[in-house]
Amino acid sequence: MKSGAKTLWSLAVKSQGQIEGLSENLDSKYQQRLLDLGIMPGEEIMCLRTTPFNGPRVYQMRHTVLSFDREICESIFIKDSNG
Amino acid sequence: MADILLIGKPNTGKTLLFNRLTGLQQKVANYPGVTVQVKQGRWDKNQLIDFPGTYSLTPLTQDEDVAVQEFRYQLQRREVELVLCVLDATQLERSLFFALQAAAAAHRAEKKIIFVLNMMDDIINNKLKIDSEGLARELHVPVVPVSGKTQFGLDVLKKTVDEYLKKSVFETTPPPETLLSKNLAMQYGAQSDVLMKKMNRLDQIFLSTFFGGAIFLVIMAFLFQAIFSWATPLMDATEFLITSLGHMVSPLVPAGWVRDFVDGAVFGGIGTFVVFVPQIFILTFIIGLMEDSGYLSRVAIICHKPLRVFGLSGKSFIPFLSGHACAIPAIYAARMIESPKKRLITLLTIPLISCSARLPIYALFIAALIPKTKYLGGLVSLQGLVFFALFLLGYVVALLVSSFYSKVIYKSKSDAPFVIELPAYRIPLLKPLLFRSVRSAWEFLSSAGPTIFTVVVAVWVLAYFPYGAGHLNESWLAQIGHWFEPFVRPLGLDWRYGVAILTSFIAREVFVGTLGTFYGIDSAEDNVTGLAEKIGMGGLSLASGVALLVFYVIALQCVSTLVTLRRETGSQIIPIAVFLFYTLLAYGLALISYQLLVS
Repeated sequence: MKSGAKTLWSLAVKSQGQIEGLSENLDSKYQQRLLDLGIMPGEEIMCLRTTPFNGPRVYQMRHTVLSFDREICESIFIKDSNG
Repeated sequence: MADILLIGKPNTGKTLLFNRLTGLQQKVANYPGVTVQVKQGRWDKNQLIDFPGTYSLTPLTQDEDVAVQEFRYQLQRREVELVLCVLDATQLERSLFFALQAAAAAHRAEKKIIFVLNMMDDIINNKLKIDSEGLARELHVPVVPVSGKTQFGLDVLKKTVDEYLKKSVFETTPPPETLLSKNLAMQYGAQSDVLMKKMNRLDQIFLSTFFGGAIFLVIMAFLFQAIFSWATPLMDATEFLITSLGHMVSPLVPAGWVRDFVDGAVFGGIGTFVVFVPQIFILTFIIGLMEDSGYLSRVAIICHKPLRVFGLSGKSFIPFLSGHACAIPAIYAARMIESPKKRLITLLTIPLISCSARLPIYALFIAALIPKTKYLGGLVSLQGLVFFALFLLGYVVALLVSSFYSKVIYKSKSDAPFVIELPAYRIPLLKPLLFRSVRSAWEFLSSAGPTIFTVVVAVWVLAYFPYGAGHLNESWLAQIGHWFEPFVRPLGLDWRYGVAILTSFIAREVFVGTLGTFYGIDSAEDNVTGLAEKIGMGGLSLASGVALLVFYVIALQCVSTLVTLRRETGSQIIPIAVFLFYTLLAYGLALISYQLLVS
C-alpha cells in the first residue's frame, strides 16, 4: 500500500493496523512525543473505541492505552495488519 | 544522610509512595500533571525530593519542562547520591522506557539509581507474575517490587536503599544501552491483559459514545447538589457550635463596647464565615474522588470536542474543575495544556469559574431569598438548583469569553493536538483523600482568616463608633458608605452592601464577614440569629439579590489570583486588563438582571 494513503483516523473500531510512519507536517515536538509513547513504524495498533461528541479516539498498543484527537491521528500513517 | 530524587512517569503512584515514605500527606492524583511543584520530605536520615511526573526527558508541556529542568539541575548537586525511579508494574513497557532514560541521565551525572516497581498490589491481586529479579540482573540495577497502596515491600526498599547508599557509584554499572523497553517488558513483565480488559469494560460505560456525555453531566449535577445539600447538616452543626460558643462567651466579657465587639465582630463577622468551611471540604473531597479514580482523564476526552468550539482544549476542563476549589492551583494546573494559545485562554477564564470563596456568598443569599422547596421526594432542592445555575452561569460566561479571546485577541493559527495516556481505573484510598480535604478546608480558613479578621475589625470600628450599637446609620462608615451608594443604588442596594462589595475587592470571602459585622452591630439585642434570616428580614429584594449574585459570579475580586496570573503569563498588563474587563462585565450584567427582574 502506498504510504500516506491511510491514516489512523480511518481505522475502524476493533480493527488493527500497522504503523508506517508519521507525517512530516506534524510539529517535531509532537513527533518526538509520539515516538516516546511507542508510536513507531512496524508496531501494531488497535482502535478500541470512539468517544462522545466524536471526540478523541482511544487506541491500544500492547499494554498501553492512548487517546489522540483527529489532528494527531491524521498525522499517523498505517497499513492493514497481516497484509 | 543523602539527598534522594524520586522521579517517574505520571500515574505511577509516585506521590502516594512519597507520602508513605515521608509520612507527609500530600496531594496524590491519578491525573497527569497534578503534582506541579517539586516537594521535599524527610525519609529516615535522608531527604526525598519529589518531581512532577513526566513521560519523557524530552519535555512537551510546561509542567514537564519544569520537572525535567529541575531534575537535571538536581542531578548535578553534590548532596544528591541516588535516584529512585518509580515504575508502574502494570505498565512495564512504558515505565521502562522512561526509567532507561532516567538511568542513562543518572549515570552521566555519576549518580546511582534504583528502580521501584510500584502498583504490585494490582499484579498480586490478579495473580499475575513479574520477574523482577531477572529484570534486575539484565539491567544491572536493583529492582524493588512495592505497593504504595498496601505498603508491601517498603521495608525491603528501605534496606536496599541503605545498602546501595554505602556503595560507591563506581561499583555500580549502568544498564546496557542496547536494551529496549519493549523486549524487556515482553520477557519479564506480566503477560496477561486482565487489567486491560477491566479498564476496557469500564471505559465501555464511561466513554460510551451515547451515554458517556450523559453520565458526565449526571456526575457534575451530583457534585453541585452535594456541595449544597450534603453540606447543610455540617453547616448547621458548625453554626450551632458558633452560636453556643457565642452564648457562653458573651456574658463573660464586660458589657459595653468590648462585649459588642465580641458579639458583632468576632461572632457576627468571623463566625458567619467559618460556617461555610464544610462546603469547601465536600467540594475538595468529590473532586479528589474523580482525580484518584482515573475518571478525570476521561473527562478531558469527553470535553475535548465541545470545548474546542470555544477555543479551549479538553484538558482545560481539569483546571476549571480544580478552580471550583481555588483559582490558584487551577492556574498552575493549566501548565499541562500543550498549546500555548489554549493555555493562555484557559488561564484567563479560570477566574470566572465559581471558586470556594464565592460559596459563602452564594449560600448566604440563596438561604435568604430562595424557598426550601423540594422536588422528586426530597432528592432535588430548589436551593440546590439555584446553586447549580450559578455555577453554570460561571461556565457560560467563561466559554463565551473564551471564544471572544480565541477569535479576537489571539489569532495564532497553531492549534496544538490532543495526546493523552489513559490511566487504569483505581479505587481511591479514602484516608489520604479525607486528609487532603480536611487540609484544604483548613488551608482556606487559615489563609483567608487573617485578612478577614483585619477587615472585619476595621469595619467594626468604623461602623460602631461614634454612637455605638444600634446606630449604624449614623456611624463613620455610613458616611463613607454614602459616597459609594450611587454605584449600588441602581442595583436596589443600600450603602451597607456598597461597603461590603468594596471590602470584598481584597478577597471575596470578606463580603460575608463585613455584612455579618453590620448586622451584628445593628441588631445589638440578637446577635446570634443566622445571618441569612437577618438578611431575609432586612428586606433585601429578590431582584437585588440576583443582581448581587450575578456580580459575584463574574467579578475578579482576588488579589492572589491577579498576582499568580502575572507570574504565569509574564505580563503586567494582562491581569489589569482582565480585572477591569470582568469587573465592568459583572456590573453591567448585574444591572441588566436587576432591571429585568424589577420591571
